[in-house]
Amino acid sequence: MVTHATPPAAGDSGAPPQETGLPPTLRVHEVVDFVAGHFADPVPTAELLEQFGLTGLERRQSGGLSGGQKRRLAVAVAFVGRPDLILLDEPTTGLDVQARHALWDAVRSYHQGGGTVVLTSHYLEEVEALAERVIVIDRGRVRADGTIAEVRSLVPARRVRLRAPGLPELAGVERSSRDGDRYELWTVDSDALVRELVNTRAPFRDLEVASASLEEAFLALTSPSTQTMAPTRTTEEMAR
Amino acid sequence: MSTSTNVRLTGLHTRYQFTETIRVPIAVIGTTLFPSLSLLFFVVPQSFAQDPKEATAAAAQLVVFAVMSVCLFTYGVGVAEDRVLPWDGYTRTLPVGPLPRLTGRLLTGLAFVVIGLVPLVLIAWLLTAATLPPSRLALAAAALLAAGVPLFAIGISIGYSLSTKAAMAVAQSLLLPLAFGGGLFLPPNMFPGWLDAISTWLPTRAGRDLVVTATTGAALPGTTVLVLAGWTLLTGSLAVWAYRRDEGRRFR
Repeated sequence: MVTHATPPAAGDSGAPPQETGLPPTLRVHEVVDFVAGHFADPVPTAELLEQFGLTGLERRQSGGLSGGQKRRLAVAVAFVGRPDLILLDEPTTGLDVQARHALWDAVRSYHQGGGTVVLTSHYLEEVEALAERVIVIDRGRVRADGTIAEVRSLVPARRVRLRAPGLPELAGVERSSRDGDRYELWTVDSDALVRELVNTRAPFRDLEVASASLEEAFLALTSPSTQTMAPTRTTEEMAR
Repeated sequence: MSTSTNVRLTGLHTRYQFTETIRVPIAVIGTTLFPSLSLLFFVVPQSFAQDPKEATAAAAQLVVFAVMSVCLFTYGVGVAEDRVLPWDGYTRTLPVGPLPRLTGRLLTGLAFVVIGLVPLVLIAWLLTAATLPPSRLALAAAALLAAGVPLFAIGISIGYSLSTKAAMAVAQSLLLPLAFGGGLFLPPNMFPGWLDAISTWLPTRAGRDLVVTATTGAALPGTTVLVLAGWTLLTGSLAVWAYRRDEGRRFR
């Protein structure tokens, strides 16, 4: 985390308004121009709208935008003042695929320009796509804090999937599950496991080996305490 | 924050608040329709409408009423509506102090007061004997401004301390007593003694007397300035308190 001895001044950080909060009668370019008017060196409106895929909607009243467009506009205005730090809370929830990727690209290019993003999200694909440092928080406690690779390595790192009529006992398996002829095996060393499997001469097909995803790591980190359905959150940050 | 920055930000907030409001024109017409119609139906047909002094006073009263309507509804109810929206909370995160935002509100309301006064002034000018010599114009405007300050502060207090529904109810229940009691509908010289005694202490009465004096040259009662100053101080403090404690909409 970036720590400030004193709270950061309003001009140094940015956060989007809730998308439902855009003044409905103002046009898209007016919303951006209004926020831009508070900063000495704002991102030009046309450039910002293009970055967030809103070009062509400048004259539309914000109340008439679709949900995804409103959200993109709301996130866009957080960037207008070129802040050092941006706080984003679930920025792409409910967005379609193109819109999500447009938003991610915009976040990445801001980060390349030296900005810091603090992203809070339950959406782990987003975290994997954007974050450099990940902090998993479960019921107010930090469960993990590190790079994506480090957080992933907290769980048996490899998942081996295959189809087989039956499998013999395999030494390298840490955890396994079976659904009909589909097996899912978790292991620290997938190479050794596959070698062992081949040596048993047991028939199998559709072999798949993959790294544990952040989602799997997240579930493993939070599962013992989630029976109560307490809200869990991931916070991660793209550090400078 | 430097003065020039504040001036620029005030301009920015005024421009966008004005734009936002003017896009719903009926909201602007609404509050100013009633005083114009009152003048047309209750003053124009009367015989005193042809007496310059009385007609001017009657028009001046309704002008104060129009200002009060805007203060209570545009500011009172309008602010209450705005501050429950996430956008209002968001603008408080922008690098701008309370002054440009509130001044922006004040100027926006003022602009709509001026727009709203146009039909009223036209009716008074064309259909009654009311007159306002150019020499009195500046004085009249200053008097109206002074009369408007406590009303503006009441509006802000309501807006920042109550929910939308409560603000609407309070604005409506203040509007008519303050208007009648302050002599904005019937001139105070028609009041019974007891009502006149109460009326003297109302902000609307003091404001009305100030504006009537400024437009017609009638004698100013000795209490007017004192009462107006007292209300300005009281309602001003209330408005500042309400603004400071506002945290948007809160649920228990």
